[in-house]
Amino acid sequence: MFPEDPDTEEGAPISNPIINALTQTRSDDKSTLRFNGYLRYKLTKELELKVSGGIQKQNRSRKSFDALNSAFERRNGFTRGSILINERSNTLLSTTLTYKKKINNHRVTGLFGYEYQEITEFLTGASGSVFPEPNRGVDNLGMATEPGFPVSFNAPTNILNSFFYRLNYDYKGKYLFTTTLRYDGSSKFGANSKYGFFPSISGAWRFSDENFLKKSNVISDGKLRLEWGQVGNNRIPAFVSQAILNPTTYGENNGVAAGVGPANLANPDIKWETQEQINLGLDLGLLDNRILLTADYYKKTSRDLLLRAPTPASSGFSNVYRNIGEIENSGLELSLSTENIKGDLTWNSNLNFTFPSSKTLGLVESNILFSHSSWSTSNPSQDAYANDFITEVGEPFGLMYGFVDDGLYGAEDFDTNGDPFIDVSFGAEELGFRKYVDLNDDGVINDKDKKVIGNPNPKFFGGFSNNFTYKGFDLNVFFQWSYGNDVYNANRILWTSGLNSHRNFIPEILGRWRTDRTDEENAGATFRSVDDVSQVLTSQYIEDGSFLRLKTVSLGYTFPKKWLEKVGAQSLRVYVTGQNLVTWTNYSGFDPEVSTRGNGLTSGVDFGAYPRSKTFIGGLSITF
Amino acid sequence: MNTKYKNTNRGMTLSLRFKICMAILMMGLMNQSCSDILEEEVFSSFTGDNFFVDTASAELGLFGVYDILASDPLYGRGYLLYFHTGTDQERYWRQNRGLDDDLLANYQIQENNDWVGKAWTSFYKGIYRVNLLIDRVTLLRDASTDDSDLEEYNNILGDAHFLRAFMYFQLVKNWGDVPLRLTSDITIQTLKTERAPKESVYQQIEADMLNAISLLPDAANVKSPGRVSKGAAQGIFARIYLTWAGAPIYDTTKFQKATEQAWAAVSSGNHELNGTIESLTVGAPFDHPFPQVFKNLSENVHEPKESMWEVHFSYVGSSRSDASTLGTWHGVTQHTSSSYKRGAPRRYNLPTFFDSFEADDAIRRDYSIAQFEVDRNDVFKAVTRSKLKWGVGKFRRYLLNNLSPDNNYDVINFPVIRFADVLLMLAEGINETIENGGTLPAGISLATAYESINQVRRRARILPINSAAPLVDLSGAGGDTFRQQIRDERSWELCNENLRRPDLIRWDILVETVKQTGVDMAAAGFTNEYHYFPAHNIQDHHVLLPIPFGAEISQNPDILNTDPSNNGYR
Repeated sequence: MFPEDPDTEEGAPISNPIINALTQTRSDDKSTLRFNGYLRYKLTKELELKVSGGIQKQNRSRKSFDALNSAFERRNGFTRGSILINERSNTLLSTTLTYKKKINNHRVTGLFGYEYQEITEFLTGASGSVFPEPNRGVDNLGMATEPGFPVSFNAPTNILNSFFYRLNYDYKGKYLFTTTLRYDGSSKFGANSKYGFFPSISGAWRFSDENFLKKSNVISDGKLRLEWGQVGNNRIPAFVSQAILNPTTYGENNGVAAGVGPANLANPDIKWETQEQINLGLDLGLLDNRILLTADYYKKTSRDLLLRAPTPASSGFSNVYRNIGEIENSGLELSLSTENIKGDLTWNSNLNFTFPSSKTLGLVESNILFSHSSWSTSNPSQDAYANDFITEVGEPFGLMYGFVDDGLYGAEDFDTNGDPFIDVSFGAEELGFRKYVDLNDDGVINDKDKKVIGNPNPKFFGGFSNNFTYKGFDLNVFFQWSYGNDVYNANRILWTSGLNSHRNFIPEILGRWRTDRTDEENAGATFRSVDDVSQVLTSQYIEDGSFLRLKTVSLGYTFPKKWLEKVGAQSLRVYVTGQNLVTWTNYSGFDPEVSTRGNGLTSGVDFGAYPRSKTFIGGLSITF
Repeated sequence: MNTKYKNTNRGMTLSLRFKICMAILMMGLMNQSCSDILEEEVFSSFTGDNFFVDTASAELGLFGVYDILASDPLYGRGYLLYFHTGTDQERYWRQNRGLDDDLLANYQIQENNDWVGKAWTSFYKGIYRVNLLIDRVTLLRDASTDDSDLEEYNNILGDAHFLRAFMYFQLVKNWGDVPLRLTSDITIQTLKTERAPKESVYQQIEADMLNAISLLPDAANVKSPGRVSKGAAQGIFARIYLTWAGAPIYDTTKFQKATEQAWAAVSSGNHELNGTIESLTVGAPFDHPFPQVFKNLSENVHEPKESMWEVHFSYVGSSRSDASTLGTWHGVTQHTSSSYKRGAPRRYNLPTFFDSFEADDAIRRDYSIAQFEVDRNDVFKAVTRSKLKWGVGKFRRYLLNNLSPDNNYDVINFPVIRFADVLLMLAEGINETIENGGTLPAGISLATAYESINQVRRRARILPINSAAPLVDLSGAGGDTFRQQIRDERSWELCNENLRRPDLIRWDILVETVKQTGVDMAAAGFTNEYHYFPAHNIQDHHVLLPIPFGAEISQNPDILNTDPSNNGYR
């Protein structure tokens, strides 16, 4: 049934998706049990104590099996299976004391609170390999003739301990004032930096209630908002502040000698990332609120940004979690809501635009931080000049960084000895291979010839939503767009080269340069030769990811009440909804709205992303 | 209290914390006393600060260092297979050309080569592990009052200093000037270092080796077979000195030191050549007499008299992470469907190397150069010379008693140093000491050198090792002739054991030898470039490797300050 592996070395047997589906088990099941409760006790008329608690138990089981004829089995010669079970519990306790008081037009609400959260996790696993035929797969790992090591892992506890207060003051609904303060402690940080102090303050002025506007026929509602605040971010794994030792095994004397080795470089100084945000907003209601205009300017500064940053390998470590620097996101958000038609037929719409921008304010190590999207980790070779993203002080962060294409090598690129005029330091120079622009004119293509070639951030994005109603019918039409964002299409790098690699290819290679074609035929080649296996990022793979998408169309009909009374129902609605119906884009991949390898500094990469599905839902909702 | 086994009942702690915090809050005493609940408790792992408390934990730390050597980037696969080929003995061949292993093995090396980066990363990972071990165990040793503990700590420190020297030797040999890290006290403020001059790296290696040799036990008293003995360390030390005495440093005073170390190992009486030559009883037409020392590798028999120190492998618990590609990718061609499972060599012996053997040396030649393959029906078939696919006979997977289920990984140990090598180093050391005007250790002379090489020659021809054999023995007045005889003998005796390339580099004849091999191959009828890529690709700078770009330069660009050319690669 299967052809003999054509490659006698370790090779990669051709992967057949149908056979894979039949021979590989990959399952990931989660079940969650939640329990929440609270106690409320009025101490006085104004003072209320609330104690709430919750516990969430999650069970996750991951099963994997590679049966006879699976890609793994054909490559390695044996079957294998494993089960991993995680038990996770999340306990939350919160106590708040609320004070509410209203004197004339002054209204004050104050709140003190304490919150405690503890997440624990326990993992157990079993594995085995070399199963007899027939076998029962993951349902009986005991049939394995080569049992694997059992694993268990009591994950580091993750504790959050917070104190906070909030004070609201409001005068006639005209002057609004809020201040909050949080004192958050997280077990993840270094011994002296566990706690962070995060205040915020905001005020609003409903100027439309002022005398000079009260009688305006045009302005029906107007509010000016000013907010400033800080929040903390602790999204790092536990134990990065301590030097952890992991177990190791050395295969001594055909047995195993247990050992330990350092797992990470301790960063005892690691501390909270602080996100500071300033927001200035204006809400304007015109013509009896038939037109609502909202404008917001925001500036968000992230200090002590947390990142798993690469380190020089000569330190003994490849990366370390640390506070790497400071970045800024700012932008303008505009939103316009209108009631276009009133009456039997109504039409409301909302149009919104966001114009974002970002900037790197500072980095701890140097002015430049390179990052690697590592989409090609499964293919260790050609990790050429690995860094394909750059973050530089003064510039937007996480820009795509690579070589600039200069067509294909032709006869004119070689001297009379057949030597190329320009050397490619990481690959070969042959007819039909990709040519790169030698940016610094030194005759060699190397990492000095890379530049910023793409920006994953859009110039603006937004949406346009329309709601129509007529009698019992309702219709929602929603468009979404993004303009000016670049997508790094890594699919076109991998699935276009190396004919012996037993990969599938994308159709683009039909227009490639071919050795079996004449020079005239090759003159029109639109793509490099398949023998050029270099996988560096070049400008060719950066595509415009702008799109306009008809995201949702939903049509419903609500039956009149009087019809329903006979059947004893209160309401009955039937509807049909379509999602992701049409996308207008120049992007060549499945979906321009993609980011498969994002850590914040390496976003906008499309590698093997699952295409966005077009969905249609029909429904009926009935209330008795 | 033994902190290693500290455990806490989670449920109890939790409810206690609940009560405490609730109570505090209820009483309106919101203050900082809850803050120590954020202290991280370690359950499944240990931390470097509290782990090393006794001899048992120190030994676990030591095996963590050995584990690095056996890892996939080093002797499990990368460093074992791709870094030592490209000589006058071998060609590297695989069907999928152009990948980083192929580029590295065939002198198309770039500073982004993934295997170069992985080896660099792994050696430094090992150096951090061993620095941590030395730092902690030295403290324990100095505080220890118990005699047997003291001995154990000293033993472990002996291994540790040896391993640090061994890893720095690999680094300095391959990369020249390298960062010299000697303490585990690294913080995020001290991640970057410069390259230390190779001379200072050698001085540190020497200090560590002297320390190691004073602490290590004899082979008979080594605590477990994977650990190194004093004799093995002396052998490696001789290798280090010979390399130091050759290119590129040429500190010829070190020939004498090499001689002293090799002589110490030889005169200890703890090591000898294994003279037993066996029939294999499989693969009848190819059942050449085979030295027991290589058969032992496949049978997991440890006999450190000749095979003085091995990197150990196993395949236990479905885990290939402790296994190696020796025998599968560096061995004999075996069909995947044969009952011996797959053997798919990447490194093949050249016919010109076959031709270099002396006429009376056919036994050694024919067990070293596997001129056969095993087909799907377990039939042993001859492989013709023109196919250029003569495998490595020293590592035969089909001799394994228990095959791993894996097509690509199995459990043959890698012999890092054999006594035959020590004898040949003794001969070389004596000859070069005399040539360079040095002083030989008491009781030895040029005659000792001839006797050493002759023992190796007699064993190869199945003659009694210690009896003179006039037809086989070499004799003479040393000098250039003897130098060449020693070089040839090393080539024949130690082929495919990853010693030829470093030898050619320290003798400063790598490039010319590889180019000459290209000429010889063409003369033998192998005229195509793909018959022997190295001759077409090799350049002068290939005696060193580049500092890897992704793993090091990109995060530490200043490392190029002392040599902007990156060992000639830019």
